[in-house]
Amino acid sequence: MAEAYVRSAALAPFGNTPDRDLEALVHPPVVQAVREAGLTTDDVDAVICGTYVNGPLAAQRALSGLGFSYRPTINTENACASSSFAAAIAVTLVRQELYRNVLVIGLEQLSKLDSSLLPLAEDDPEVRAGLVMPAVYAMRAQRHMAVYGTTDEQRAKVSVKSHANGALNPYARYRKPVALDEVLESRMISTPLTLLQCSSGGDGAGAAVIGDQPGEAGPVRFVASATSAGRETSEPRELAQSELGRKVADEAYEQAALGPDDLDVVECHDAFTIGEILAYEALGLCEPGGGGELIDGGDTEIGGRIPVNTGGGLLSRGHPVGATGVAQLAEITWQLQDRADARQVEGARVGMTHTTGGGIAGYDHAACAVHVLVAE
Amino acid sequence: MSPSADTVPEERRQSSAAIELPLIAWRCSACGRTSFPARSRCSYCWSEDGAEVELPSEGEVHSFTTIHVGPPGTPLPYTVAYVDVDGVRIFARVEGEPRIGAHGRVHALAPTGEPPQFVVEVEREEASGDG
Repeated sequence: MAEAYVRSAALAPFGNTPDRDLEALVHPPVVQAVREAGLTTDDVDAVICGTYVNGPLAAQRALSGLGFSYRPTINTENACASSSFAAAIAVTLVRQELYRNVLVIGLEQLSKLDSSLLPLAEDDPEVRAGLVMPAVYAMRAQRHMAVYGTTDEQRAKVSVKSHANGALNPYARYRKPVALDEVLESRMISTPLTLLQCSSGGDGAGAAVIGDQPGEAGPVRFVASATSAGRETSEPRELAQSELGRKVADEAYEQAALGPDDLDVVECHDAFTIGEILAYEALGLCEPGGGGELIDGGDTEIGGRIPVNTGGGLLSRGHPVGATGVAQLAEITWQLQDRADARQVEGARVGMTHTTGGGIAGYDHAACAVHVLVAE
Repeated sequence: MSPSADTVPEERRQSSAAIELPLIAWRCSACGRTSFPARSRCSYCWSEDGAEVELPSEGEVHSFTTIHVGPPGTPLPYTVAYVDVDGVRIFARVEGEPRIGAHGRVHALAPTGEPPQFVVEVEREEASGDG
C-alpha cells in the first residue's frame, strides 16, 4: 500500500462575490495547486470535486478550459463535508495504488442564492415543518447550557477567537476582529445564537493534489482518514454532545495510533459557535462538558496549548459549503509546512481536520470526516 | 411578542382547518423497538412482524429554539422543539413558553391531503410552591 501525501493545496479568497464566475473562482487555485505539486495536467490521474448545490457536473464545468479531458472524474456531495469526503476518497485511491496523483477540488457559489439560509432537503419532514440549519445548532446550544452550564459569553469567545485568526488570513471573508459585546449584541438568528455566532456562505474554492509522493514545500502525510454517516434513529438522543464526531475522531486516532494530546493544531467545524465547543469535546481536547472552560482558558488560541481554527474557521473564513473541507486541509498543510505566516503555530507537526454535514431528520450529523496529518 | 392566554396564536387558527390525527408509531414484535413515523418494516431489525401503536400525546421538551431568520414567506419568529414521547423524538412547532424539561401535549395536524405537522402545546409552569 502506498502512502498518501498532500503534495500541494491552494485557495481562492472566500467572499460574497456574485460577479466571480466558476472559471474565475476555481481556475486560479487549480493552476496553483497543480504547479506547486510540480505536475502538469497530464500527471493528474483523476479528479474528485466536492460541492453541495453548485449544479450538475461541477468538476467538468469548473475545469472547462484547463485541458483535463479523459480523466476519471467524480463529483461528490455530503453537505458541509462534501470536499472532506472528496479528500478521503482521494486518500483511499492513492493508498490503494490505483492513482498516483488525484486533484481534489472544493467549490461553492452561494451568493447566487436568494436566501442567506442554506437550502436543505425539501422533502425532509423536519425541514418541511420549519427546521433551518441555525435552529439545529441553536437547540444543541440550549441543551449544552442546560446540561453543562455553558454560557453565552463562552460561546461568543469562539467567535472572537475565530475573527482574530481570520484577520490574519488573506483568504478569509471577514478580516476584522470583533469584540465580545459585538458578538452578543448582534441580531438574534435562532435563540441563543446571534448573527456573529453563525457562519455565512458566500463563494469560495480550493484545490489540493493528494499523491503518493510528498510535496516540495514539505512532506505532509495522511496518517488517518476516517469518514461516516451518523446513526439514524427516531429514538431520543442527547443533543449536548456530538455522537458522530466522537465516533469518527476515535476511529481517526486509532488509525493514526495517536491521541488528542499529540495534536498541535486543529481545524474543526465551527459552522456555529456551539459547533466548535461540541468539537472540542468530541475530539477529546477536553472532557465532555468542558468546552466552555477550554475556550475561557485561552488553550485554543494561537499560542495556546492546542490552537483551533487558526485560519479563522468557518465563522470568519466563511463557509461556502463545498469549499470548506479543502480550505481546512489547506490550512493544516500550511501549518505543518511552516508556511502559515502570522497564523503560524510554532513547531506544528501533527494536525487534524474535522468536518460535519447535516440538516436532515433522524441523524445527529448526517456525515463526518476527520483527517490526521503529520509533517515528516 | 410572546403568546399570552387571551390571544389565539396565528398557528392555532391556521390549524383549525386541519384534521387532528392520533400519533401513530410502529412497534416491532421481533426486537421490541419503536419506529416513528409508522413504517411497514422495523428500522432496526428489518422485521415486518409488528403493529401500529398509538403514542400517548404527553411529551417532554428535550430542547427548543425561537427562529428569527426563517425560510422566505414564513411568518417570524416561530418556536420549534424536539419533544420526546414514549421513546421516540418528534420535531414540533411550539405553542406557549417552552423550557427544557417542560411537559406538553403533542398534536398531529394534517391539512387536507398533506402529511401531518406536529405542534406541542407546552404546559404552563405551575405556580412555584417553594418560593
